[in-house]
Amino acid sequence: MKANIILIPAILLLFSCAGKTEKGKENESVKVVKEPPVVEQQADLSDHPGQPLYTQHCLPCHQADGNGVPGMYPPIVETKWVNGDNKTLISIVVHGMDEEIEVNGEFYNTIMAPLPHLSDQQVSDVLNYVRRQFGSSTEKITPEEVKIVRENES
Amino acid sequence: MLLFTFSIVIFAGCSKQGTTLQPDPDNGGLLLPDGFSALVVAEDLGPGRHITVKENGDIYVSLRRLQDGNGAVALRDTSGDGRADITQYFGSVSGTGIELHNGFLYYGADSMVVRYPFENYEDLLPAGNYEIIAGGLTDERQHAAKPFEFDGQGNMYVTIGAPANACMEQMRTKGSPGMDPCPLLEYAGGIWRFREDVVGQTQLEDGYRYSTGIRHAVALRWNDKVGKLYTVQHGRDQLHQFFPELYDTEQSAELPAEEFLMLDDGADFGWPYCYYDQLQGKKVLAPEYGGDGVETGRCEAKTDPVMAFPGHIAPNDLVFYHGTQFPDKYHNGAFIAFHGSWNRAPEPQEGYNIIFVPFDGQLPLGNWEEFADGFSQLSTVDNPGDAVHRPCGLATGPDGSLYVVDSRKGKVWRIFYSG
Ligand code: HEC
Repeated sequence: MKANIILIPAILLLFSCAGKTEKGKENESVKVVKEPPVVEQQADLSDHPGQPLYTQHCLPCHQADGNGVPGMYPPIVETKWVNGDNKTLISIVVHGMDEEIEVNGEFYNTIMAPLPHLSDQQVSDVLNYVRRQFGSSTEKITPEEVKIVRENES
Repeated sequence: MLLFTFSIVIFAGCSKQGTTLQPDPDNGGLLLPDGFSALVVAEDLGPGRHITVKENGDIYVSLRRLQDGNGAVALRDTSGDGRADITQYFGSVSGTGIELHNGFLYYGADSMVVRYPFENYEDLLPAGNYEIIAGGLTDERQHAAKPFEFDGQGNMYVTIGAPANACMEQMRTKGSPGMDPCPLLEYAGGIWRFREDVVGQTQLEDGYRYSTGIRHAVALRWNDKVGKLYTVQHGRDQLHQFFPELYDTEQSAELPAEEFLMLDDGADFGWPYCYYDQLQGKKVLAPEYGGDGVETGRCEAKTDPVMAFPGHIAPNDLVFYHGTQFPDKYHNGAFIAFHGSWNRAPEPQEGYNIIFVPFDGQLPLGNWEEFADGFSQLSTVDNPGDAVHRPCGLATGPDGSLYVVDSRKGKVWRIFYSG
C-alpha cells in the first residue's frame, strides 16, 4: 500500500501536460449544505445504555442517522414499526423480519436476521434508545416484555 | 514499473482525440480529469442498475424495481446533441444485467436471464415477449442480482451471488459458525456458464459452474482483447460486528478487500472460507472458520485477485476501454463503478465514484486512480442515504464515450474527451 501513495502524486503531477487536476478544489465547491436532520435532537442520549448497543448491533445497517441504505436497509426514523406497538418492534429484533415493506416511498424486499445473542435487557435498552433517538413514541419497553415475545412465536 | 507509468501518462496528456459534443456547463455535477467533459443524457428514470448502448446510439437501462409495470427503459437521441429525446419504458421484469447480443436484448432478472427479440434491430423497442435462456436461478433477496456476459464463442456467463454474508449456520448472527463445507456453493457463490442461444436452460440441468468462491459480483466483463473473463467481488461484511475482539471499527471498514478477479475455468477464490486482506497482501482464513485475521490455512490454495480495493465500496460495474476517443493511456484499461459503501460505518463511507485501472495485457499495470467523482454531491458521505446519486452501471458507446447510470434517481451521463 505504501507504494501507491508515492505513485499517485507522480501521476497527478504529470497530468499537468494537459492541464491541471483541480479535483481537490472542486470537491469543496460542490459540498451541499445538508438539510436539517428529520429528528429533533432531544436530550443528550450519549449516556443512554442503548447507545453503544445501537452502534454495535444496528448502526452497520441502519446507519448513524437511522436512515438506512436506499433499497437495502430501511430507515427507522419515525416509522410505523418504531412508533408502533411494543410486541412487533421487539419481535423484529429477536425473531427478525422477512417481508416486503414500503418506507417513505421506497420498497425494501430484504431480510433482517434476528439478533438472538442480545439479552432481554439489551433488547429493551436498544429499542428504548431507538425510540428516543429516531421515533416519537414515549412508550417504554421492559426486559420482561422482551422475554415474553422471545418465548412466544418464533 | 514506476517509470513505465510515467511515460504513458505524459503521452496521454498531450494526445489529441475527442468529440465535438457540447458538455453541460457543470458536467452534470461530475468531477473529471482534465480534458474530459460530460453531459446529462436523461434524468429521473427510476432506480437504474446497468446500461448498454446499441451501435446506432440507442441506450437501454435496467431498473431495480418495476416502474408502472416496466423493468427497463430505452432512450434515443434524435437531434444529435447526445441528450435523450425519446424515453420509452418496456419489459415486464426488473433486474440488473442488460446487454445487446446477436440482435437480441438480453436481460438479467433476479431468477432468470431472458432475451427480447427485435422486429427490426434498428427499432428502439424490442418486439414481443421474452424467452428464458437460463432459468431456475436462486433469488433469496440477498445478492440476487444476475449480471451476465458473453465470450463471443457462444457462451453466456451468469454471476450467481451467495444469499449470505459468510455462510454462517444462522444468517448474519453473531457467534454462529460457518458451515463447512458451505452448501450454498452448490448453486450460488460463483459464475455459471450456459449456452447463449439455447432457450429454456436451467441452472441445475444445464449450467456449468465455471468459477467458485465468489460471494457476490455485479461487475462482470469479458475482455476480448485478451480472451478472459473478469469480475469484481463484493467482499464480506460485518467483521467488527461479529468479531469485535479481532477487528476494530477501522479495520472492519478497510477489510476485506473488494477483489478484482480474473476468472479461469475451475478457479476458486475462497469465499466463504477466506477473504483477501489487502494490507497484508494475502488471503486469510475467515473468522467464522477459525481464522484470527492472520492465519492463512487452506486459503493458500485459493486464487488471489489481480488487484485489491478498499473494503465495502461496492464495485457494481466494469468495462474495458477499447474505444479510440479517450487518450491512449486509457486504451485496454478498465473503468470500475463503485456504488459506494454502507458497511464502513461508523467510519465515513467511501466509493460513490468511478476509477480507472491501467492494464498491460491480462493484468493491471501500476495503480488505479480516480476517474469520476461528484455523484454523491458531498465531500464525505457519512450516511449512504445522503448520497444524491450513486454510480451503478457503465457502458461504452460506439464513438468511445463512457456512459454511467445512477441507482438513486436514474440519471444517465455521457462522459467524453474533448481535449
Ligand atoms: C444486517 C443488517 C441489519 C441489522 C444489523 C439490523 N437491521 Fe433492522 N432491518 C434490516 C432489514 C433488511 C430490514 C427490512 C426487513 C424486511 O423488509 O423484511 C430491517 C427492518 C427493521 C425495522 C422495521 C422497518 C422500519 O423501517 O422501521 C426496525 C424497527 C429495525 N430493523 C430495527 C433494528 C434494530 C433496533 C437493530 C439493532 C438491534 C437492527 N434493526 C439491526 C437490516 C438490519
